[in-house]
Amino acid sequence: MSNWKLSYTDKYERDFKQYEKKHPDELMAVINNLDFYFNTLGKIENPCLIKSGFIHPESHGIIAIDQKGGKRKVKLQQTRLYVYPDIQDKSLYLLAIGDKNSQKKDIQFCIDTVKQIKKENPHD
Amino acid sequence: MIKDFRNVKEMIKGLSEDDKFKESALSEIENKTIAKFLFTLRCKHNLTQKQLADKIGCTQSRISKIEGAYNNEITIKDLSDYGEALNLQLEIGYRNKGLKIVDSIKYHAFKIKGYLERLVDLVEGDEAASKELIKFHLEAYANLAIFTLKNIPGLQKSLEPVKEPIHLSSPEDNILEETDQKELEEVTK
Repeated sequence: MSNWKLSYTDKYERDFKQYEKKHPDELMAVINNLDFYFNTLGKIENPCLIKSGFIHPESHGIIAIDQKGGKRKVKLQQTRLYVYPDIQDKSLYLLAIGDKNSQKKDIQFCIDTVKQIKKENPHD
Repeated sequence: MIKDFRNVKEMIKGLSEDDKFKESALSEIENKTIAKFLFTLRCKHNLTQKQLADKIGCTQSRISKIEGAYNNEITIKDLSDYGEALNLQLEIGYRNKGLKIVDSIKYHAFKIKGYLERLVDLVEGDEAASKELIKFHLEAYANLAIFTLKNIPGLQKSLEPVKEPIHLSSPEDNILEETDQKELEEVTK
């Protein structure tokens, strides 16, 4: 049984609420893919084994989950939900949600946040 | 970080401010449990959609469709194809919705008993296999004992009464303070 937990940043909360208002279909798609990822994480523990077209590994152990897959009636805008799986703490950090335009800024935010997480929770 | 959630459904309930979105998102998650199960199964076997498709002998697009499908769209053929490709036997059954965890444990305990008896029947007359099976029984016994005993200390700890702090000094301090006050009054008279 999974004992992984989800933690989130203030930015993730703001992004979630903004997408819920302006791009609910895109949010629904990335959240659904997040559920696939999180559910599998709890059963196989190793994030590297989770392979799918909607999963894109970024630097510093960050994973970008996009909107692809599932059946959608409307064409969805490219959207990415950034997460960081901390294997030692069994925490999946929800970092940010963004689109193609904000990608560079989002990734930089994620890298800074992950560095902070690693600093606060140093593992051997 | 503000709050932790145990799963994605809990996260949606905690963050969503739009009831319509919340309802649709939760329904989407609940209606894709079989696809999610198959997705996990493929990942457990360290296969990409393309590799699994090659094993089944279909296109990657079919695997993608299955893993994106709702529960009512997945066929028995899809399930058996995954089973064949991953060398797993498909078993279909019903379970009483009201089954409690303790009932499940009892059910599995009797299943284990049944399997052990089947093993005993299989090794009948084979001395070497019987010896191995004795070892296996002991191993199984030790493991089950560990599983069950492991939780007891934690449970006992939660039963220990909370010790109330005892304030020995307070009443005496009060008496002393009163005495001091009287003495002081007498001296100052």
